[in-house]
Amino acid sequence: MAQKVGRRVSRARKTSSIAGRATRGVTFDSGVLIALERRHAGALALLRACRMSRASITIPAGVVAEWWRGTHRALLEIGFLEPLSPELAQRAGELLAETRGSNAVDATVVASAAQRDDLIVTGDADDLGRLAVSVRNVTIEGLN
Amino acid sequence: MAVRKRSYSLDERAAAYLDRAAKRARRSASSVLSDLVAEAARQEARDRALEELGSGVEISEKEVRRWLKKLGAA
Repeated sequence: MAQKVGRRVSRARKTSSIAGRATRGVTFDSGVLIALERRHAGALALLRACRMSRASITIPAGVVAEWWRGTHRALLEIGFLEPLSPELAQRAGELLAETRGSNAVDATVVASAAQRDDLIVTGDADDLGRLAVSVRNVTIEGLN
Repeated sequence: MAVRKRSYSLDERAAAYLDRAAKRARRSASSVLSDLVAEAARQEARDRALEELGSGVEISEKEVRRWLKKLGAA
């Protein structure tokens, strides 16, 4: 048992020693925050990686409205809560028009991430993928 | 919204670093300092969230490494 724990600790140290500072930021959709609340191991691995690499996390305001129900306040503080500016709202609307989509919150996630060339992490990679077809500078990753 | 604080002081090295960082970024020392503290607060919130939600959950190191790569940190 002690050996097992020791091995786990040394593997964790090894991972922390390979982590440099993140060169790419990440934008979360509500699926990631819900997964974190539900203690999903994959989402927690992502949060740990962000902690280790000091990655910049952006959570668009619409995502907060979709997810926040008054618990787990620490999750509100893990990244930058991005207000919905008129410009961002317009870009999201254009994305909906281009893709004939209807989910305004998803569209703001893509439009927000595109401003920074971010990685988008989502619970539903298909939906966001459809919205991002005309956006070249974002990458979409689903949670495993 | 900015809050005015007058009661803090910095040690010499911290002040010199802040001046260099502000000059490099062509921003005010206040805004650079604010960013530094905000980042520290976010990191502390991540620790709290991991402690609160991650206790008892087996987080795969392989999965952490996979995300580090995606973030350009490994």
